Amino acid sequence: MDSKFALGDKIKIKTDNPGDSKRVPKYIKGKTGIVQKIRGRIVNPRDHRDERPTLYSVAFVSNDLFPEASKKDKVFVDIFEDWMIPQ
Amino acid sequence: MLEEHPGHTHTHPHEPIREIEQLPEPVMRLLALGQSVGDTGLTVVEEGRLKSDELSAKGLTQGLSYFEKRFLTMRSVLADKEVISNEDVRTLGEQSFELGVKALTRLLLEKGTVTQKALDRNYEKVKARSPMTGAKVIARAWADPAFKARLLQDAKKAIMEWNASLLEPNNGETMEAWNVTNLEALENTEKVRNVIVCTLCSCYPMGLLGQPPEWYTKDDYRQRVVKEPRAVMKEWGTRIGDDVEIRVYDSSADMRYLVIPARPKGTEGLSENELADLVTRDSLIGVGDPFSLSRK
Repeated sequence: MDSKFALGDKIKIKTDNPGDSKRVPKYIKGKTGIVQKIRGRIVNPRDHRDERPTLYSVAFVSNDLFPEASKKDKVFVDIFEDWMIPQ
Repeated sequence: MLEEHPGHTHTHPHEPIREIEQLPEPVMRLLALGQSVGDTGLTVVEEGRLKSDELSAKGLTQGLSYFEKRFLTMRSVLADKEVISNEDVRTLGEQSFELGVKALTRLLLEKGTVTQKALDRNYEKVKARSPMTGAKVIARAWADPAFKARLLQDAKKAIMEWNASLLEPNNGETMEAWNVTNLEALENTEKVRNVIVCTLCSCYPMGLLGQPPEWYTKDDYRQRVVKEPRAVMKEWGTRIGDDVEIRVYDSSADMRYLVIPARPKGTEGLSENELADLVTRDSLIGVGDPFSLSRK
């Protein structure tokens, strides 16, 4: 699989939309997380017409996203490669 | 105005799945219509999602119920594609929800956009959707460790290999048509609890869990559960210990989730059907527990 990131990689989410994949939760923009799974290229013609980059499951420590959140908990978000910057 | 469906309120988080009421008929008709239009390839789900964002930003969806908003979104997307006129969008909205859905259906049948056969087939599919499908999968996972292992490995594949007919009457069709493109099963353990949300809209594995409960689609749940899942769950009667890690999964168009709750204690002798009856919808979403033997 020609994925740019590997399991366990530390990555940062861009703050500005890189183009194709429009919807990313605001709360992870500019935040750092760890790659948990490589989901690959998802084919989903009922949902969108364009081909999307590789999708990853990324884990964030909840407290890094929200000051009131627990340090013990995590939030997992699925993110396309073009949103991710190596750390 | 369409009244909020009683089965959609969160008055009791632990209602048995069998007691969850079916959606009102006009709502199922709307969903079948949307599915039928989608089947033709004329529209894709994302167009509706972006249109819904746009209508909300313009304040045009204020005061609308979840399904009224979906109806307006569908009309607007169809107008953008010049299938119906802006005048149609307006006049359809002036009628009651039920009559409006009927009128749009008639319009799309007249124009040949959808066929009666497709509408009937999709209506049966929408009607058959229930969280009981998900409950059966969980009962199987509790009863058969090898199945659970496959479910954790590749949830969609495991379900289709085990029992594709579980998803009847869409027999022979793919789960994509049931809004499950890619599925991950998340196992609750003594140390980890999983909770599902969709913060951007209301993505939900409808083929397995039916239509989402009303609260799942509301801002309150969607905004709070990512920040303070412990507080939300406590309010609904589930206390999570400080030594347990909560993992909140934010669903998207390309990824849906199913929680495998921990099997209730003392259920060793139960059949799969009896086990399925212990599963609650909240436990499949992760915000609650299954019934214990004594509480049921």
